Amino acid sequence: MSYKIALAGNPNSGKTTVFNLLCGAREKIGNWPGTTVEKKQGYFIYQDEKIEVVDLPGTYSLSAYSVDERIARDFLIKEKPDLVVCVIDASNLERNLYLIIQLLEMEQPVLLDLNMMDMAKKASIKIDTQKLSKILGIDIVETVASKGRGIRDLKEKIIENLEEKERKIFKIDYHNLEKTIEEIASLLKDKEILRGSARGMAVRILEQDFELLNKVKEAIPQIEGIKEKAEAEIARFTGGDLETFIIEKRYAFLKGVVKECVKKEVSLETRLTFSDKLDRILTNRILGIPLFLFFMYLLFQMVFTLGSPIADLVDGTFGKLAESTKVFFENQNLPSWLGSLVSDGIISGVGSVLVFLPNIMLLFLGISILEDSGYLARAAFVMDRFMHTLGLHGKSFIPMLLGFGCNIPGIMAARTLESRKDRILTILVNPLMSCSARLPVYTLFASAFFSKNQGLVVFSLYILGITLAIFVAKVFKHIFFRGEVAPLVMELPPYRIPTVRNVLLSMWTRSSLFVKKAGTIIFLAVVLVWLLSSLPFGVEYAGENSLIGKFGKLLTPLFKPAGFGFWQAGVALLFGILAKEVVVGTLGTLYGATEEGLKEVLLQHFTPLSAYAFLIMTLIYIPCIAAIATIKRETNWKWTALAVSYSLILGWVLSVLFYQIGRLFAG
Amino acid sequence: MMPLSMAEEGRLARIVRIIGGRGFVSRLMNMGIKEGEVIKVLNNTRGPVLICLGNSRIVLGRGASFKIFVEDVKEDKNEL
Repeated sequence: MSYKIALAGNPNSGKTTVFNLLCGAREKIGNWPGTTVEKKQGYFIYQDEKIEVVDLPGTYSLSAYSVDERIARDFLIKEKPDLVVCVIDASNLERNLYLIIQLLEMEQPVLLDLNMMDMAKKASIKIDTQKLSKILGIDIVETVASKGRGIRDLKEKIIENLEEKERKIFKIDYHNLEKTIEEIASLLKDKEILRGSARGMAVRILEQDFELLNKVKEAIPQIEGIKEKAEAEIARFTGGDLETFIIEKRYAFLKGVVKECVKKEVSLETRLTFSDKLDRILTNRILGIPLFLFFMYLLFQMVFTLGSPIADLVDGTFGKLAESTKVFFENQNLPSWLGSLVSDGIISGVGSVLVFLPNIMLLFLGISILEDSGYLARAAFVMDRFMHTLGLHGKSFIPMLLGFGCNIPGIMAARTLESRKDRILTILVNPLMSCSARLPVYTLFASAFFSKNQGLVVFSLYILGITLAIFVAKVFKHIFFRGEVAPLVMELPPYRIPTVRNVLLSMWTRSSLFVKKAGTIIFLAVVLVWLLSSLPFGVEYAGENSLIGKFGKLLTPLFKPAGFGFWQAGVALLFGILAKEVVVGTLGTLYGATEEGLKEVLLQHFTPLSAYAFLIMTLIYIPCIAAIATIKRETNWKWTALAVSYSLILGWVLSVLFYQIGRLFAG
Repeated sequence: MMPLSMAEEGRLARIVRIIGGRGFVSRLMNMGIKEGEVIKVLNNTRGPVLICLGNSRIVLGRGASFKIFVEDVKEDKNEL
């Protein structure tokens, strides 16, 4: 028979180390359904029993404030593992025990793993484990996972605890609430709607677990009234709310437990660890930001100096492949539309996705290193103040910064934000960061029309993007996410040297997700564009009479007020949706000119004024297909539609405004 | 009594009061940040504050550190 156990515990309690010691390499990493949170599963065999282990995300409690906590809670409540091994930091007992008593209240079989016993000893904390075990009514194992100590004991105790045994029913005295709790519990028992501890559920309902409340509301309509009455009573009695009252009662109980079981030689001077010393420098008020910018600069250098040659190689290979496929189809006397579909459509399409891959993989490599070392959490701290002025918090900074390289990893990096609001807002404004694909368009036009002030013109577009991002973030926040920013509260992990295995693994999981999910959408879009460019039959590919050419012509009046009302510009912008740098190539093809010649042709069609208006449009209008696909992947169609439409409208309005106002001055 | 955002670096402080919405206060309480607790201010960049509570290092962003009120704890009193 095989058993299923779960590892639970606070963040940074050494849970993952315990998991690795238990399961070794027999682990499987995936995602929790419907989320991007990593799910780790493994198993070990001890005394001929196969024990499956699920590593839950680190949580402080069963109250679900973040995605991580919701996953852990749902798993514990719905999947009912045979045993929960709660790994707790022995040197931080009171807070760590909080989760345990919540589990016990739910009548969940628990085994307590007192981890980091060495740290506790160092801090002169003596824990009477026998007494603790007796008070809580559960078995306790002492481990030092970082040194591999106590794991055999742990396995033995796990097996022992899997056998059915009488468990003491754990109860906390909630004073004034007792009557209400019993009333709800007996109602729950009568209706038999939920499995598990009726009393535990009753407390959770009073603790504002709305999910649970909604589930029982139908069967027990009077429950809301009971709750309201209790709420009023507590408010009258303590002046506070139900939730706080319950939490306080739990802590009051824990305080007693700790007083009885823990002897601590009082030393006020918290010993500064190596991590703290590093933090003195890395999160320093003055040095923090420059150091952070320096690390980001290094990251960028790595991603783009190392990645771009590889990306060019990929691009070149696919270009050649497309070329030779075309030739192959011609030689074989196969219909030319088929050759065009395969080479212009499929191969170029796949190429346009894969060309991002080297940069993305390197970027994720960098992020994984920063993340595993513990620095990424510090970066959020350092940038919090600045980002606050934008209505976002520190953690949003990294996605924005990455956007300058490529919006796709930028959008994906928004995953690190817990609050959905912050995540969506950060994703929505990310395409306004001028990605590296837009640079070729900027430089082409800047060198043709503003040869004296090229740098300034390009720089102005970057600044314009940032300014707009601030503005758009404020507006969207006002429209969609009224109310305050979820305040940044997070625990910093101690600095660690990242392991090669973890870093590579997380780089791989993230990159392959991009290829899989974004790839399919991009692929479909590419084929669609190919169709539009090739139909009706026999037309010149993407020529004036192709569907896309006609579509471009339809757009002409739309772009006229912005100063570039000719179909080539329209088609170039349409193709630019595939990838922004394609704007340059398309203009080249349509005007039948190479790079140098192209400047000449452009000078005939554009004025400096309309050229800049065109650049504004290129910066703002519609994110590229890959970015759209990524936005869809990270959010939903509704937000994706908003991202596409707001950018299109904003781009158009600004380029028209610029052109028209400019004309007034130019006379 | 002052907001945590004004607390001096390197000082010990006792949390006296936490204001804010229901979710915010209980979220902090679940992390062990609650009234009566003594913390050490490791780093304060005029807004986001890095504190030491027991064995953990917790960042309280600008929004959060303005809502937590603390008082000074004299170093010689053994209150941790």
